[in-house]
Amino acid sequence: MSADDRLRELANRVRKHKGVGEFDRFVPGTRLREDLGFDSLDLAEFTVRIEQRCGVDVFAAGVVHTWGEVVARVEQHDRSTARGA
Amino acid sequence: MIGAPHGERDLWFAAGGREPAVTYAHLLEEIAPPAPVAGSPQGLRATLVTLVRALVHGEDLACGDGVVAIAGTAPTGQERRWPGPSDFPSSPAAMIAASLRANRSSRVTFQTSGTSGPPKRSTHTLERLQHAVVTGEHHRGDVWGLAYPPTSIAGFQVCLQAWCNGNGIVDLLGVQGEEVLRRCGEWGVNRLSATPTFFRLLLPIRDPLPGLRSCTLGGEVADTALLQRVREAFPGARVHNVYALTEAGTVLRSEGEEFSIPDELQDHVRIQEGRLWLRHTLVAEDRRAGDWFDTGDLVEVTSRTPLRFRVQGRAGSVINVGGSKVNPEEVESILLSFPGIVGARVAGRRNSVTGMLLEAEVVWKDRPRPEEEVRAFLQSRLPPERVPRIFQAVNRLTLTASGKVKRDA
Repeated sequence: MSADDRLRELANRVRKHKGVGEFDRFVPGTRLREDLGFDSLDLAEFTVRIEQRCGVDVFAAGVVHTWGEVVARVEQHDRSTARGA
Repeated sequence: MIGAPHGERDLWFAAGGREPAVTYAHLLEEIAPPAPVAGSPQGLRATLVTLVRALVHGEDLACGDGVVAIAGTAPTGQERRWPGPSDFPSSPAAMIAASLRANRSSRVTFQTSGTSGPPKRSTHTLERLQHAVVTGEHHRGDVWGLAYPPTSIAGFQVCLQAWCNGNGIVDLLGVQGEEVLRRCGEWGVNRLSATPTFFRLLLPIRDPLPGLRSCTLGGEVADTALLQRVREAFPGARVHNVYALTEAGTVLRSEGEEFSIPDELQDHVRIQEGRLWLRHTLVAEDRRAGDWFDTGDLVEVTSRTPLRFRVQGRAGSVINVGGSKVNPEEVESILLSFPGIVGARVAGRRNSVTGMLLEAEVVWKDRPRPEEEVRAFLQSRLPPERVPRIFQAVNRLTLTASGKVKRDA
């Protein structure tokens, strides 16, 4: 499963818990707060779920605003662990 | 040794089937000689024998992490203050009780492992520990279920109460559910003292243990709903909630979740900035610093005059979620009011956005309910930062040796 697919699943899990419907218009420019409707607690949940699933804290190296940035950080982590393996 | 479980006189210890139960006469044989007898007992019974032997010989004790050390011995050349079996030929139990009364100046040290820093020691005299002991006809024939390690102050108090009355002790350490009821029924336990977590894991029950006369809950926050469930489960028992701490022993008793201050303690308890403070005279000498001692327990005042309050949890366990201070025990008590949840532990999980985020471990009595239902239940009762975001169903919670939910796991 690609990083993008894994992250969509996790983002929609956070949305489901908020009681809002599934989001299916993910593009690199999708904004986490404005478009996905994530407040800071949702973002915290999202980052904890990403860390559990993908092994990387996407907010550790600074604030992330868009979908494209999240995907890039996870892909970068995937590449570095693949090289290390 | 005792053959049949029920109705035997002089029971002092029953291990619950793994080894034969023993009487006070047997205990006397074990503690009277200066050196341990051949075939020394193992496990809990060995610890209890060590405690009794030291106490009747007037020695000081140091207890910590389940280990007992004799901290000091009676001065050499001085006659030991133990009366000797010939003084009480009719009752070994009476002899042991008399020895405990005679050695009131012995000191007992309990060790608590704080979440940070070195372990803290609290030293009490045997006299002080005996303040909480009630003796008399009313307590003759009692049998205590021991659910706390005897090296903790709570367990020590249970043992002291039993020994001062010649009562039996039944091993319930680390035992849960049906096995607790089986042992209590088999040995006629009529007094139970344990943590709220212990009782939550016991309920609901099929057999109401008609012989049970009292249930005492302590060491953790007990809420009204749990106290009510314990009352319903054991209709023949008086149910008490106690506020106790290693530094001071049992301080307050209540029938419900609210505590009031008895007359004799009116000037000894105060609440400052939501925390409970005790006058230093109530506290072990080695823990005194200044006139007042900060218990570190968070309380909610429900009435100013007369003062009544509810204990909410430990100040040290507060979790900072995005700048809001969250008391995990408050969240746990709401989780525990959800039908079917019998155990809950709320902890902080580090993250780069809000610092901490709440996660919950939940024990279900039967089949787990969907996470969405639990979240909706919490959302209708708590502000957003106090609602856990990560849930995990577990078979059992990690408990401390005393049976409290472990917080620093």
